Amino acid sequence: MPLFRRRTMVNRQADGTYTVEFPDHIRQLLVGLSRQLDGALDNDDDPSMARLFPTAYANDAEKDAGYQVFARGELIEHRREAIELLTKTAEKDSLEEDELMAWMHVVNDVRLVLGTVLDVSEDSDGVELDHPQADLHELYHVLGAVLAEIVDGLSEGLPDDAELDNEMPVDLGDDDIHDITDLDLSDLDNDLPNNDPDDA
Amino acid sequence: MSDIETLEVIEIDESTLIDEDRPWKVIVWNDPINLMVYVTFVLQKLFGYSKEKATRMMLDVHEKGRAVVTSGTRTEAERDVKRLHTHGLWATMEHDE
Repeated sequence: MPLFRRRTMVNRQADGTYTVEFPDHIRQLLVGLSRQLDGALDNDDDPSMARLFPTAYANDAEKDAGYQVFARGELIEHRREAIELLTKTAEKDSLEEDELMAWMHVVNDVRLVLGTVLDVSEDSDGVELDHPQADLHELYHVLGAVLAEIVDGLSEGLPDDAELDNEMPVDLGDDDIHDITDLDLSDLDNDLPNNDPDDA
Repeated sequence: MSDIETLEVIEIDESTLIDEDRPWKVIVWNDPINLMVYVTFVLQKLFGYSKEKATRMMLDVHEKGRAVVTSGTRTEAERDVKRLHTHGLWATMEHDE
């Protein structure tokens, strides 16, 4: 039984919202998992949570301790906000961008914890069905598919490369100068209020 | 003579200043969990990089094990590291050599 059709399940609309076509059992799964994540966030000593709170200063334990003092609380708070937003919007078929971002955060956070528990490697495509953790591996891959759909949808809301490529080229030939002129014009267009490229 | 002495003092001050402001690099490390499309998206979203540039960085992370994604003062680097941590990327910061 294929869980996912080839058609994309998250699509950006002209008004900047996103239609989400995940089936109910996926939505219920996400709500249940986010609840478990919420319950585990305060477990400082839980090694499966370590991946959610990485080291900032790899070679300086003292500086890193300083970072962790302020960052850990903020990271927990941010994750709780995402969990709350997902829980509130889990049944909606149309999401605002910040709501869909919250879904993305929760799905990725759960994947990080699950991947840590399963100790996945770059090449682990799957396990045999009689593997003691076969269910968790299956869940891990389902979450990967959900995340890929969400990222695919959200990527539709990113600016096109042509609008962003404003780095000064090292070697300025005539062609490059023309390119820069073109980019300046497009940048001006982007500054207009409510300029939605989809309206064109 | 006094001019030369002044110059020497200034030189010492400048080298100290440069040392303190020496830029910090923000590094994203390869990990087996984060999806490649997700890492690319996060780099685009957080730092406004083009898809091409973000993809290049993601591939460096994937193939070489790490990539420098931003650099700046210690405060700027810490801010970027925290944003990357918020998004679940494995990021650290270190002094530019």
